[in-house]
Amino acid sequence: MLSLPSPRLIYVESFARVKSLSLTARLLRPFVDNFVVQWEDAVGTSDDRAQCRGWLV
Amino acid sequence: MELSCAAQHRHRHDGVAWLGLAPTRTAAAAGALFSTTTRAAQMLSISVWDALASLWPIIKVLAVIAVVVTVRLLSILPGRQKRPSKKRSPSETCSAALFLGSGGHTTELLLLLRSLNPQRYTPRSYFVSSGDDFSRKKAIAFEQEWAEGGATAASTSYTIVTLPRARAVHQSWLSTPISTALCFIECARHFVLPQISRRAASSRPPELVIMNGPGTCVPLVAAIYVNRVSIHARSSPAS
Repeated sequence: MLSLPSPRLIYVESFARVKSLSLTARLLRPFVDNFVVQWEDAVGTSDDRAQCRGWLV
Repeated sequence: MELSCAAQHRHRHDGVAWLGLAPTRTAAAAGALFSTTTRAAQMLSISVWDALASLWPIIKVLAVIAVVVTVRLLSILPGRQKRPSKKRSPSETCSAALFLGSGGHTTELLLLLRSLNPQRYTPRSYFVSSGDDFSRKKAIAFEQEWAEGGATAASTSYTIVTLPRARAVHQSWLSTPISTALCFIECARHFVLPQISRRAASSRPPELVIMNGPGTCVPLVAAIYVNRVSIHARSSPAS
């Protein structure tokens, strides 16, 4: 079904979050189109929805 | 009914006695409140059950709406497959909305933006929280850097939008739903309104939102999801 136009959502988790995700990240994870982390340890390996591109800053 | 200082001190150390005192006072207070409420309800000549019964049709309608919205929402979540993005030619621009949460978030996001080509990602709108002068100044300085770097006038067009804070630091959690709702309304004004009213659309609505926290992102995403959940017959497919 067609919806109103909406922007593409990209959430980049902070470089400071090495071992775990912030509360905002955990809340928004199922809703954003691109979920990017900068440390692999921040997310579990079972979830392929998160992208880890290494350091982006 | 204040205990004397000495009595308080005594009870704090005598663990069992303190436990025995507190529930009694709480229970008494709760009991007093309950009896007052029921007396008030009796005075109004309606019982709780009658009130519920009269509201039942409304409750049924709300429940149906909630189910429909939930099903619609689950069907549009991005999930595992990537949302198909339309192909763009190298000359096409993409309008971007950049959320600058305060402090370290702002610094990081602006560092991320360094790798973007300002010629392609334009017009840009920076969303800052009210009272966050640091982010505002940083955004202006960043844009000036780009302008000095030789970018064309069109690609240095940017706007700064101020959003009310969803929750200020140390804000009481009781007032947080209200401030979050106010923030959501403002976000809806920026993202939903231009889509439903041609009059309200001033410039090109953003096609991309980049954010890295903190909390004010949540009402922002919620406002955008109002657009996604809505069903609207349009000739062009959702991008």
